[in-house]
Amino acid sequence: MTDIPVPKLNNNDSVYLLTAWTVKDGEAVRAGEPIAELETSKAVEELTAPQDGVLRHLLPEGAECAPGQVIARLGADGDAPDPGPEAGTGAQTGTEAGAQTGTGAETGTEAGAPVITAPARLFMDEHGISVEQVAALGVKVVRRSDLERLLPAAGAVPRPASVLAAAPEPPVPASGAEAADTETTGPETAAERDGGEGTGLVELSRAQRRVAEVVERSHREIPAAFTAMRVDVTEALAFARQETRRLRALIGLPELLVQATGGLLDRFPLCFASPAGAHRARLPAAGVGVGVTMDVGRGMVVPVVKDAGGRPLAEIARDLMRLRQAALNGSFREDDLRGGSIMVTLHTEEAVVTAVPVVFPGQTCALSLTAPRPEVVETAEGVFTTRRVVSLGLAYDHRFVNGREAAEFLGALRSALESPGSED
Amino acid sequence: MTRVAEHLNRALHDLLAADPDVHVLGEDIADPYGGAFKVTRGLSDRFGERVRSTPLSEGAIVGVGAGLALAGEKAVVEIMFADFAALAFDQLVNFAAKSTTMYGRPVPIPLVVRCPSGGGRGYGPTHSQSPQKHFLGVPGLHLFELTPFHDAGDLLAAMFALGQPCLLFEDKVLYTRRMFTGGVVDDLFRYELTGGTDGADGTGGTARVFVEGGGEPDCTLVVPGGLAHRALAAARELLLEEDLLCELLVPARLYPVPELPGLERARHVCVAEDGSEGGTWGTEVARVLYPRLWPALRRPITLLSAAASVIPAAPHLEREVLLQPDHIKRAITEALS
Repeated sequence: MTDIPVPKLNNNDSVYLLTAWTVKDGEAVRAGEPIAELETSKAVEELTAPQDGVLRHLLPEGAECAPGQVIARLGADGDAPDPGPEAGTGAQTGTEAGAQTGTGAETGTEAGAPVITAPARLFMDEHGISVEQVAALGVKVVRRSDLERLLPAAGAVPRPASVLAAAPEPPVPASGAEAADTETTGPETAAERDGGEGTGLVELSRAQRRVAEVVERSHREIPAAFTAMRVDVTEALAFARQETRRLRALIGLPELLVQATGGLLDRFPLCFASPAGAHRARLPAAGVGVGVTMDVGRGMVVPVVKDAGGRPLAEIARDLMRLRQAALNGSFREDDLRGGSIMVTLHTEEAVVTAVPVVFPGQTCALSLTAPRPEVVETAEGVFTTRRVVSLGLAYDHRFVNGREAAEFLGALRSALESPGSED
Repeated sequence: MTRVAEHLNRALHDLLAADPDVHVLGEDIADPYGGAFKVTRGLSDRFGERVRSTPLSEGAIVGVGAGLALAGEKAVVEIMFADFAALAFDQLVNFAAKSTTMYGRPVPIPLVVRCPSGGGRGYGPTHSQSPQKHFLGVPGLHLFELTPFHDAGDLLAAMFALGQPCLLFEDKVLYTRRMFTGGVVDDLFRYELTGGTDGADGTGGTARVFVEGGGEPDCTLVVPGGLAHRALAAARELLLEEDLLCELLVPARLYPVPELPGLERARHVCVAEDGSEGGTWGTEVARVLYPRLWPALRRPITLLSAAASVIPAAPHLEREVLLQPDHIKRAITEALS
């Protein structure tokens, strides 16, 4: 059986309306064939079958459904129909869908079957109260207090779970108590159980799945080492304020670091190289592209500042500002995300001491920058003063770069940041 | 199924068709654009000069609306984002609300100022607020809020019948949700409208949302229309996970606070809203309820609001500031534990 979840169709709606099934329950469909129509607040979208199979509806026409909610399943031709209770349990009564869809979520009970609260279900398990006994109460919503009066009638003797499992009871309807479900619906593979809704599993967003792929590959392929250096940025911060006014472009430590990094290609070519097999690396063809991490709550992205070594600070600052705005609107062009030869990861949350970045596959080095913090130092005159420092870290592919180059590379960046503007 | 924005649009169409004295004013409301949220779509094509796009001056628009009302016509004014109602504060408080009593005899001012409010869309600090609280306690100024339960046509009629200026807040998140009909919310919850839905008492009535056959509620949640879905989500989880039965009261009129039904039975009362913390609508509701419920209350009324913070644009940060079902659920579980 393959689950068919509702895709996210837009940013405005938390629920969509299932206006029609275009393929009937139990009918065979081919991959790519439309199976249902979903109405958002703005448009009607078709939902297509991801593969060949026999369609099983889990939701009636006219019902509301949330992105991510499984509304149908595809089975092979010979598959037994889905056992009734599984359809529509879990997520629909579970926390997630309840919270997201609000009132749209249905409990998925069959007509007439009572909704049983989680504490009530626990009480049933503890005291061996059957679903039939509960149904006989004739109440629509069964709470723990409703069950307490059943106790004398039920014999009040707690039964072990094995007895429960052997008892020929009908499947437990609805409102996801997994314990009861597994006991009464018989054997079920771990995979099925884990894949079930309402098990507390969280589906990663598309953006995070992409991040997962990249960091997994980096971890698998790149033997990385890490060095961090303390950098006095007292002057750099003053310089940045002054340049912000002069250039009418927001200059901060990230801008200064991106520019300084771009200027180091000639001295440290391997730090900007791309591994080509185990013993060779390819140098960047045209200028240094510096990727900068951005995360504004829509998932992490690493847009690239192009030719960071050969351009004035104001241009780099304007590029970065445009990329930040694109991150906010989610309006990146494909080209914004390409062409990086090194990555700068920003950890500018207050009180971050140091951070070890993941080296991007296809690169050899990744820098990390923390927020400035005050530090008390003794001056040459023997008095104490405060300066502002950051931790500048470098994760590097140890196949291409050694600790000595890493320290020299960081040292060069440190010099650039500690005497800003000296190159101009 | 009718979505709330569409429902409100139809109500405005009906209102303009039924009453030739009604005018609609607002920024960019004329066709083909039809307003930022499309609530005025089709009105200018159908009713011509009675529906006008105006210059970008909230003070001017509300002033003209109040002037029309003073001169014997009726006006519906759209403020594109409720946040901008601050720009019309003087016209509302010192002109519209005062005009009803300043001329030696009561003068009707049939003026409705529509204010799309609330966040959840990532629109940032000045396009996401719920500024209801700033307009509380102004004599002669009535505050209403759109709900998914109340018929918008009845509501507009009730407001005009008052003959005093009204603000109608409309939580943006409602626009794309469906109107509830036939007393049914979902598989668990039912609703009924109590008191004055026909506009007779000027309150627009209150929707009571309850679990059929559920018995005495453990907690009664009082919320404005914009929070209805979040409160319902919290009530659903509280029932299914914590065995706590909640009833919802969703009044159409926020100020003056109407008579809220059935509270004598409640074990606990919680008022939730999406305005920022401090000086809230909830404190006004509590002020009205305390003398009435004092003998029955077992614990203080729980007041929930958005955090005392500017509303961030980044969605994950915005969620932390604005009131979510989880906050409501946690607060009620805590209060009743």
